[in-house]
Amino acid sequence: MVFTWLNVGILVFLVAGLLFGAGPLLGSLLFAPRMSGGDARMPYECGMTPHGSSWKQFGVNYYVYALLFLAFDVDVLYLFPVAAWYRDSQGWLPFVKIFLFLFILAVGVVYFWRKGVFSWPRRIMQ
Amino acid sequence: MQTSALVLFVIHALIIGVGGIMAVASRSLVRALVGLIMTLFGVSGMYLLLNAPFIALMQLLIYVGAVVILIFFAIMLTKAPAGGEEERPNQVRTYLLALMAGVLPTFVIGWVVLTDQPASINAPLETGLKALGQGLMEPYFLAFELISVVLLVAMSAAVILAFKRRQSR
Repeated sequence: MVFTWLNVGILVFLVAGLLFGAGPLLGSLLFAPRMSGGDARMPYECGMTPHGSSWKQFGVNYYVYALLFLAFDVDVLYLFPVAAWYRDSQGWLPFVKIFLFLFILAVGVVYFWRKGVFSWPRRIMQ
Repeated sequence: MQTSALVLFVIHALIIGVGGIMAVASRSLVRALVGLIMTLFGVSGMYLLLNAPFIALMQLLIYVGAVVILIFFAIMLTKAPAGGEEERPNQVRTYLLALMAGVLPTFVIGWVVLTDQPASINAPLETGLKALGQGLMEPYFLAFELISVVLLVAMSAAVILAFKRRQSR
């Protein structure tokens, strides 16, 4: 196991984040007036009353966007080390290899674009 | 330094354990997912202790940043019926079996690591980003290109299966 200054920094931020989150909760526990009933348990205490359940089914299009994002997120995992090494590489071969990698992904992007994935529908059908 | 690393290990293990229990035990799916997020953060901390900061950051980027969001969307898409069969209290035998399923792999992995110790068991070596990149570009070049094909197939399959063309109205 390795303990570096990075770990110290993360630990400091962890403690600071916990204090930042727990502080207001503790403060409201100590200082805030208690009340119950009325609109206190509504999602919005003032404003319009919500109708229906919040468990609503969302359009499947959102899921497609999340999946595309996940796939490009995984790209980063592989492109990042390659990009870091690219400076030390020699010749045109690495360029061709990375170009091939990106080209295959670009084919996908063009296909989605043609299919209309990127145009946000005005009304998502369920 | 070794003791402080041990303390940090215990903290991360606690985060992982508490998150895991939260993910399993909570009734609300969203809360269970928050527990999963906590566990993934703890695992990322473990990667840092293993001297793999790149993997730790990628754990945050991919798992916490994308996979969890995907699961959130999946929860939003489906409607979990209240009072399903999971709500019934389980028998003790089920808990015992679940515990065994969790504990046994730990022992197997621990046994393997202890009997066949890698050279870096006490002081993990850091594999630099550039070394990783060189590995991807030179010896494992074919795998690197195939990754993009796999990602393309995954993306387009998702689009073909799930995407609904906008209906003109």
